[in-house]
Amino acid sequence: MPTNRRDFLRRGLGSSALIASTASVPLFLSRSAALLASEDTAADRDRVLVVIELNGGNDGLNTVVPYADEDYRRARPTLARSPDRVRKIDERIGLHSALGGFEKLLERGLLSVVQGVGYPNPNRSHFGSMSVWQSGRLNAKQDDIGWLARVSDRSQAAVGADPAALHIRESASLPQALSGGDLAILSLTGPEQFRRRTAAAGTDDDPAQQRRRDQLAPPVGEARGTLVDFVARTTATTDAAHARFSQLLDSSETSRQAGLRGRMSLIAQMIKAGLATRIYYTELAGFDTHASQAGTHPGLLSELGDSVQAFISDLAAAGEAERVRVLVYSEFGRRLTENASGGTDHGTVQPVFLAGGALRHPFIGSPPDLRDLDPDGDPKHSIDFRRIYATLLNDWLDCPSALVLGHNVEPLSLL
Amino acid sequence: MTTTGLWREFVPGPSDPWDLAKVAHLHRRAGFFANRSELARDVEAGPAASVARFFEPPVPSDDERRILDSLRKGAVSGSDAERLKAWWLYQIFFGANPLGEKMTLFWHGHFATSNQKVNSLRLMSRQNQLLRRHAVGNVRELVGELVGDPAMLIWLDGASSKREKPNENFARELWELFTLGPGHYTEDDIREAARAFSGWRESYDREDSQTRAFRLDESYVDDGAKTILGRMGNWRADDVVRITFEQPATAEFLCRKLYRYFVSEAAEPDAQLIAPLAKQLRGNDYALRPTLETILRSQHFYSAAVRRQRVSSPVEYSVGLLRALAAPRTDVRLLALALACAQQGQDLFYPPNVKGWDGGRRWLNSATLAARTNWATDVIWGNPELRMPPYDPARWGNVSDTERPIETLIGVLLQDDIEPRALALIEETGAGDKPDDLRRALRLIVRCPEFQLV
Repeated sequence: MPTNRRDFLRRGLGSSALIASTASVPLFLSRSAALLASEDTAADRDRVLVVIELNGGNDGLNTVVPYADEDYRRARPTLARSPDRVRKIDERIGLHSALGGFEKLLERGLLSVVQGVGYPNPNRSHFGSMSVWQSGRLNAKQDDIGWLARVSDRSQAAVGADPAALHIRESASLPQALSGGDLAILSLTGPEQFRRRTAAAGTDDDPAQQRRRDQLAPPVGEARGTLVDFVARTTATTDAAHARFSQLLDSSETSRQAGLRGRMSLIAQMIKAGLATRIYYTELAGFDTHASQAGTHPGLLSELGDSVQAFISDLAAAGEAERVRVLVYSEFGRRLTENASGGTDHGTVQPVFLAGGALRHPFIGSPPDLRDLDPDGDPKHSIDFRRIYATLLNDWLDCPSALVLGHNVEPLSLL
Repeated sequence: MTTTGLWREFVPGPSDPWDLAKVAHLHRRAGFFANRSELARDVEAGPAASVARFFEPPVPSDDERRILDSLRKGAVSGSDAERLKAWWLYQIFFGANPLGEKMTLFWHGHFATSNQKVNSLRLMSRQNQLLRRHAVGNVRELVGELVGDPAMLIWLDGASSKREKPNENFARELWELFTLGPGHYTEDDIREAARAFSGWRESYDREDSQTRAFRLDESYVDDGAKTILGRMGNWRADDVVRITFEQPATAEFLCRKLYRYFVSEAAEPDAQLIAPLAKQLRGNDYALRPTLETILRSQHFYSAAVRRQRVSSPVEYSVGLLRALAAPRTDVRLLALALACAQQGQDLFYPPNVKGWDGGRRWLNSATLAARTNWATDVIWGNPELRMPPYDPARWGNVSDTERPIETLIGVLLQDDIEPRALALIEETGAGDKPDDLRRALRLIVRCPEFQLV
C-alpha cells in the first residue's frame, strides 16, 4: 500500500479533500479536523490488538485436550476426546480435531497457547466472571470501567480522529471491556450502519438547512458528565465516524461473509486500509454448552480456528501481520465433570490464545492438574490472566499496566 | 397515599403547576409518548385522573382481539419472527394499555429469554402473553409461573435438568438476575435450589406436535431435604420461590430496577429512596400496582431533577416519535419499525444475553445513534423502499386552531427541555408553516441531544 494513502487515511478528517467531499461534516468538526491535520499522529499507532471473546464459557479441557489423562476420561464418559480425535501436540495434550486452523498457525510460530489461565476465587456467574476479565479487577462490578476503555481513554484520539477502539459486534451491546470510559466507542456490524439515509434532493440538503444543523451541533463539554453532554459527545463522534467510514469503505471491497470469519475480514480491511484504530474487539457466542455439547462445540472451535488463521494469512500477505496480535479468551472454562444433559456447567480455568507476528513460545504454563482440584471439584489456575494483560499493555499497547490493572502485575514472556 | 416522606404525593400549586412538561413526562415514562390531544386532555384532567387512566385501561374490543390473534397465528405458523415483533409492536403502538405494555417490555428485558435458543415463536409468544397477563400484577405469581414456562425451561436449561445431576443455570439466574441480586446466596444454595427445580420431562404440546413441551414428573422430582438460604426442609420449586420472595433483598432488587426504569438512571438511588418502595412491595405481597402508583404520583417523579434523566430505549424512541406526531394507522409500517428497533440495539424476542438489555448510556454509540437518525429521517421524509410515506402535517393529527404548527411540534416532542439558542433556530426553520419547513424543523428537533432522553 502506498505510504501516502495510509498517511491520508491516518489523518482522518484532517484531510482537506475529505472535508470538501463530505457535505455532512459539521463546521465545528471541520475546525477540530484542521487542528488535527497539523499534528503528526501516526507515530505511536502502529500496533494493533484484536480481541476475540468466546461468549458463554469455553470448555478449555475439550479445546486443548489432556487426552492421555485418566482423570479427564473418567470425568467425561461421553464427552472426552479420544486420542484419535485430537491433533496431538505431545504425548499428553492435543488440540481438538476441529482446530486445524490453530494447528497451522502453531506450525508457523504464529500462535501461543497459555494454559491453566484463571484467577483466585473464580466467579462462576457469566456476568460476574466476564466483569472480572473485562475490567481486569478481581472484585469487579458490571459497571466498572473496561480494561480496554482505560487504554482508549489514554490515547490521543479526539473527536474527528479515527476511533481509538472499535467493536465489530455479533451481539447488540458494547462489551464491558470497552465501556465506562470517557470516549464513546463505536459498535458496528458492518459498514452499512454508517451509511446515513438522506432525504430526496432539494429538501433537506440546501445550504441554509446545513448551516442550521451545524449551528445546532451541541456544544460538547459544557456540562461534563451529564446525560445531555454524553449524548452531545456521541452525536459528534457519530458525525465524524460517518464521514470517516463512508470515505474508507467506499474505497475498498466490502466484506459479505457471515459470522466470525466476516467480522475478522472486516477488521483486516480496516487494518490494511491504514485506519489508526489500535483496538478491535469482536465475539463468538454459543459456548454456554450446558446440554448436548458434542453437537455444538466442535463447530464453534472450527469457526474460531479457521477465522483466525484466515485473518493472519490475509494480513501476512499484505505485510501487516507483524503489527497485529490477536487475543482469544472466554469468561471461564467448564467443569471437569460432565452433567447428565451431555453438557458441562460453569467451571474455572481455560487456555488463552495469542496469535499473530512472531511469538516467542508456542506453549506457556502447564496443562491443568486434574488431581489438585478446588473444593468444587474443578482445576485450579496456574497463570493469572492479568499477567497476560500486563504483557500486552506494557509491551504492545504502550500503556503502563498498573494504570489499568490498579497495581503492578508481573508480565509473562510472550511477545 | 403518602403525604410525607421522600415519596409524598405531588400536589400542584401556583409555583409548581400541573403543566404540559409534567404530562408529557408521565407519558414518556408510563407509556410511549402521547399526541397533542392526549396531552391536552391530561393537562386538563389533573394528576390524579391522568395517572389513574394508566391503571384502568379499557378492555380491548372483540375486533381488536381478533386482529391480534390473527397477527400472532400468522407469525407463528409462518415461523416469521419479524411478524411476531410486529404483533407486539401493534399492541405497544395502538393498544389502549400503554403501562401494561411498558411493563411487559420491562419483564421481557428482566427475564431476557431469547428466541435464539428457544427457537419457537409459539413458545416465545406464549411467554410474552404470560408477561403481559402479570405485567402490572403480582411478581411472585409471575415468577412462580415462569418456573414451568416452556420457553424459560429451554432458555435456562431446566428442561434438561436431571435429578441425579441437576442443571444449575435456572437456579443461579433466578437469584442473580431475577430476584435477589448478587451477594445474597452461596454456591451451595444454588446447588440445593437446582435440585428443587429438577423433574421436568418432555411431553406433547396441546396445539402443535412440532413444539417442545414439558411436564413435571413426580417420580423425577427431588423432594429430599435441602438447605436453601439458611432454611432446611424438603423444599420443592414453589417453596424455593416462596422463600426467595420472603427475602427483603428481593423487593429491594426489584425496586432499584423499577426506579431506573421509571424515574432516573443518572445516578444510583440512595438506599433511603428505595426502602419505602421495597417495604410497600413486600407489604402488598409483591402486588406491583400500589408501588407503581406511589412512584407515578410522587413529587419526586415530577421534579425537574429527574426529567430527561433516562436515555430512551430504541422502542421508546422509535414508537414515541410516531405516536407524538399522531401518525395515522395507515401510515405506520410495523415491520419497518421492528427492523429499526433491532438496528438501534433492541431486537424484540432476541435480547443480547441472560441479563437483558443494559440500557442507559449503553443504548447509544455511533452505530446505534446513526440508526436512530436514519429512522427519524424515514419518518420525516419518508422511505419508498419501506413504503413509508413522509410526515404530513395536514393529514396526521395534532392540527390546532390556537397554536402555530411549529409550536405544536415543540410542545409534543421537547416541551421546555431545550436551550434557547436551539429553540430559536427550530422556530425560525418552521416559521413558514409549509410541510417542508416543518419537516426541516423536525429534523433539527430530533438532532437535539435532549430528544434522545426521556
